[in-house]
Parts: sequence; structure tokens; C-alpha cells
Amino acid sequence: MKPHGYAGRVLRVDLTEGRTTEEPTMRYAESYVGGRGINARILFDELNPSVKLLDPENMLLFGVGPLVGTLSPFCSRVSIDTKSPFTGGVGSANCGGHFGAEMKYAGYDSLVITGRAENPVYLWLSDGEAELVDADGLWGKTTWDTERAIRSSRNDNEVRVIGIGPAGENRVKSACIISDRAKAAGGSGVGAVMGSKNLKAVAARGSQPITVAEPKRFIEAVDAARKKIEQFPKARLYREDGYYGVESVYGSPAWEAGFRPVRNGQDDYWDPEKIKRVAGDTIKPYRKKILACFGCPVGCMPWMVVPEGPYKVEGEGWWNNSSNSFCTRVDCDDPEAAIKAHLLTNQLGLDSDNASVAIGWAFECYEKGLLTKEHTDGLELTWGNHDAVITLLEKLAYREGFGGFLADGVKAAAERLGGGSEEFAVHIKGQDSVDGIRVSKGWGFGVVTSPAAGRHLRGAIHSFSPERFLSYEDVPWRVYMQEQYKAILDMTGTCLYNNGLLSWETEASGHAAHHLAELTSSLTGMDLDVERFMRIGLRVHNLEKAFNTLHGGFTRRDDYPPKRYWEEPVKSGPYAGEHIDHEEWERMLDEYYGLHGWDPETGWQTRETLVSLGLTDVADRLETAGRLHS
Amino acid sequence: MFDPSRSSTHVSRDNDTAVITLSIDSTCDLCEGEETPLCVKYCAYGARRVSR
Repeated sequence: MKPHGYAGRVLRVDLTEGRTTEEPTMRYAESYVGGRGINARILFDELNPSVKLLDPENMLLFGVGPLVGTLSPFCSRVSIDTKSPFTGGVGSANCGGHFGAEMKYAGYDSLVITGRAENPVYLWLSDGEAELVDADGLWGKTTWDTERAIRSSRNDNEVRVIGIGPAGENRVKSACIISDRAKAAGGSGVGAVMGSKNLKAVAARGSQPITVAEPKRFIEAVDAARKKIEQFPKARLYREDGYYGVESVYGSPAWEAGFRPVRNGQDDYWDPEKIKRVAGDTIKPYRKKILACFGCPVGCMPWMVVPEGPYKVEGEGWWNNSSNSFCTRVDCDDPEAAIKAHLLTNQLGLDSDNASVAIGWAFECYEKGLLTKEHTDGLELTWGNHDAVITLLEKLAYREGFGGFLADGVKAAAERLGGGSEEFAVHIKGQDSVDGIRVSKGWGFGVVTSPAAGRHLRGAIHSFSPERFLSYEDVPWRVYMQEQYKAILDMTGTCLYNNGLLSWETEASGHAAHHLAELTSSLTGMDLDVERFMRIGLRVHNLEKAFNTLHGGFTRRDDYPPKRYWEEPVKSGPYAGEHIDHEEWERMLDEYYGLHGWDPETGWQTRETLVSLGLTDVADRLETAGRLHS
Repeated sequence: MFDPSRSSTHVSRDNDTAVITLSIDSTCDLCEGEETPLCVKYCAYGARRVSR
């Protein structure tokens, strides 16, 4: 009998052999629930540390949690995990859209992809059947055209597609995986890994039911969660104006508190006149409607239209990070060019965050005379040159000319160029990092200590309250808690951007983990109270930490900010002079490792901690490798 | 249970134009036994109503 809340099957795909096999999801679900949890366990168990990043033996896992495809609010997310081409540690990305629900309706909770197809293929999932389909005709297409072509060939406009564009095909490290044309599983080079496997896309269509253990209790839990959401004023605002429209109006803290580094992080404060030209309220005329992912009662993603001119474009997507990537970081204040750039990244399958870091670094190298037009294929990389940004995105995706120089990430590019450019190459554990971290200490500490390396979708505290930005107080504890909560979201398939609506630390909404525990328990029949759920989250986080230690060789020294943010203060604006206090950072690391039960000197895990989380086998492997604190 | 094959109602979106289409087929019984049809109750955008 199929387990409640689950499709019930994990699909294993060996692309080299062209073979698929299945195993029951419940082999893993009791201890790791689903999504990222199951991905993390399989990745740790089965990937040998000697496997190189783009080897066929590297694994690519897609996981969908139990709440996906149900009435539970915000539940559309797909977790994608691999060994990161940037860091050698865990690579972990996540996206919304409609693919996740369709994957479950097609009969699968998780996909475990290994090997490399001889020729390009896509994976077709439909009502419990899996088939590898020739994708020669799709190779080279954008993500948008790939979706169109697959839907056309299936004669079905409801087929859901997740896949790569040219960037992934060319194994560009900043390549992402795009779902439904707009939802980017960005970071960690997941698109490059998919491309290295000659896997162009996964397409799904299904009508398999998802059963509910306790229907009445589940509906009551759904109603309680939705009521809580509706009580939060921002729910209505997001619905009307989108996330960007609300969170980045002119004058909001988002512009001033260092979340959008300026000119490759030389500063964290942008000229107000430039802000006005791309702020949420002034970009409204380009936004024609707000769209929602599967099961989302809010909706946050805009449909953007630049109706005419050189940047004419139409499509879904414009996000807070877009204004970081294509405005502040490269000092561009032309909204139409920035919208064009963002939608181009979706088409090419580039992660806008990662890609813009390498581009911003190149602009600074040009400013400092380390790069000239001789290096850049004649492009003038002067701040504000949005045409150069757009051209570079294309070159990057195709590894063409100077784009090829940037295609392995900012760390690799800086090591090749030298000349001091390493000083302002902004990366964490080897991965390009878009996040500003000098002002908001909780955000910064979470970004830097994230096992997914320099990403804000782990322990980074999403509290936009100005009075808390600068404080180091309680940061380690709040990050420690947010890590566990985020793991719950990723295991169940819930969107982080309910944050502020259901966040565990938001006073207005209260105990989100309680809602998620009740939703998951009533759906699946598992007995998950908040304490047990958070503990499973902690287990997953520790698995990823162990993976990083084993595969990436990370230690305490890898939990320090990029050199620029460690040494240079904010130059202007209300937070001018703000910097990271070295003693406070060290104190936070000590406290954070203490909360986790990790060794403060090395950052390594201890047997005691791992055993307490049911990870004795993990401790054994770390000990054998000489990377367990004794 | 959540079963797309048994649903009387359908929402689709054209990804080229963002036009959203809502449809209901003849099997719809307005969720007999429920106070409000569930598609109306759970439509956060208020796009669905019962017109008698």
C-alpha cells in the first residue's frame, strides 16, 4: 500500500547504462522525511570522496517533500543536491514552481541520477513510468524553448519541465536548473552537474493520487496555517505587489542595510537617485501580474514586460536578488536593461547571483587596470555599462571568449589573473557569493557558515528589523535554530518565502514549526512534534556538515567571511564605517560550534554529537578519514 | 486524497502569455456536503465564486 503523503517511490537512473530502478521512499522517510533530507542521506552514503566534481559518478538528486502536491500552503519546492562544482562540498539548491507537485503525481518522491548519457537525453516521468528520451534536438535550446519543445512533442501544455539551458550544457559553474521557465534552483553549480550528465531536462505529467492519513485533522491544520497567513498584513501586499514590490520600495531598509553590495562590494550603500530608478515602487509599470507557485496562497513572482526598445522582453521573474545582481553590484540603474538581464539568465539557465559576482569582479578588475579591452573581447567593463553585462551573460553561458575566463567562478578567475584581484574576489568556501554581510550580522553569519557555502538559504536570519541588524547578540543561537527550521522546510517541500508569514521567529505568526509538524503528521501519519522535527532538521544539517568535512576538507578557517568583507568597512550611507568585528566573529564561532557540539578549534564534529543524532555510522566514517574530533 | 484524475476543476497557465484559465467540468457537484466548494474556499485570490 502506498504510504500516506508520499508517491512512495525513489527512482534511480543510471544514465551510463540507460537503466532505471526503484526503491520505496519509506526506506528513508522515517528518519529524513523527504526532499533535502533524503537527498542528504543518499549523497553522504553513496558518493565516494574521490569522485571529482563533473565525473559521471557524481550524483544529482531531486527530492520532493510530503507536503508538496497537497493543500498545505507554500508547498511546491524541489530540493536538488549534488557534490558542488564550486566547493567540493555539498551542493544544494531549491526551487518552486509546479514541477514538484507534478513529479509526485507522476509517481516519484525522489530521483537519484548517476552516470552520463552517451548522447543528450531527457527523463520523462508519467504515472509510475520512467523513460529516457533522446534530446539531441533540445541540446542548445534555452530553458524556455526546451519547455515549449517538450510540451509540443507531448501535445500537452500541462507537462511540467525542469532543466538546463546552454550554461548547464557548457558546464558553467554558475549554471542553475530552471523549473517552469522562471524558478531557479540556483547556486552550487547544479546546472553544470546536470549538463555534465548530458541530461537536458526532466519532464513530468501524472495523475497518481496522494492519500492523507487523517483527512479531517489535515484540513484543520491547513485551515489553521492559512488563517495565520491571512492575519499577516504582508500576505495581501505580496499578493498585490510581489515580494520585490513590497520589500524594496524606496526608503526600505533593504536598500540601506547592506543586503545589496555596490560595485562588487566596494560599498554597501547606493546613490539614492539610482535606487529610485529601480526601486520596487518605480519598477511597477513593468509588472503586469503576480504569479504563484503550486499551492501558494500568496504569490510573489511578477510577470515582467518591457514592451519595446532594445531591451524588449516578456516573461516571469524579477526578484530582490535581481536588483543586487544587475543593479547595485554593477552600478546599473536602467530598469529595462536589468529586467532584460534577469530574464536572459532564466533563458540561459544561469544563476543570476553567482553569474553577477564574477561579472562584478571583472568590472572592478577593469576599473583597477588589471583587465583591459584586450582581455574582454573589446567590452568596456565600466560601472553602469549594462550592455556589457548583458553581452557578458551570453558569453558566460556559452564559454565564449572572455566569458570562458569567468565560467569557472570568481575564485578560479582571480587565481588565474592574479595581480591582487584575489583580494576582492568575493567567494565563500570557493563559491561566488552575492550576499552583503557587513551590516546585518545574523544574515552574514548564516551566509558564511552555511554548508551550501555562501548562500542565504540556510541559517541566514531573514529578519529585516533595523534595530537587530548590527547586534551580535544571540546570533549564533538564532542561526542554529534557523538552520533546523530551514531543514524542515526543505524536507517537507515548503517555501522559505513564507518567512515573515510562518517563520519560527516572527512574532506575528508564531510557531511555524508547530504548523508544519501538524500538517506533516496528519498527512503522513508519522508522529512528528516540533521537538522531533527540529531534531531531524539538526540531523540533516549535520549530515551535510559531515559531507563537507569528508569531501571538501572544510574546517573552522572556512567559516570566515570573504577577505573584502573581513577587512573593508562600509564606505558611505547610514551604516558607513560598519564592519565585521573580528573578536565578535571568533566569539560567535565558538558559541555556534558549542551549540552544535562541534570542536571549536577545528570545527569538526564529535562522536558524542553524531551518536546523539542517530548518526553513529557518520562518526565512524569521519573517524576512519581522520576527520572526527577526538 | 489529492487526486488530479478525479478533480472536476482545472487551472492552467500559458507560459508564453501568463494568461490563466480556470475550468470546471460537468462532474462538479460543488463539493456536496461541504459548506463551500473547496476550490472557492482555498482560492486565495478570490478568483472563484459560486454563482447560483
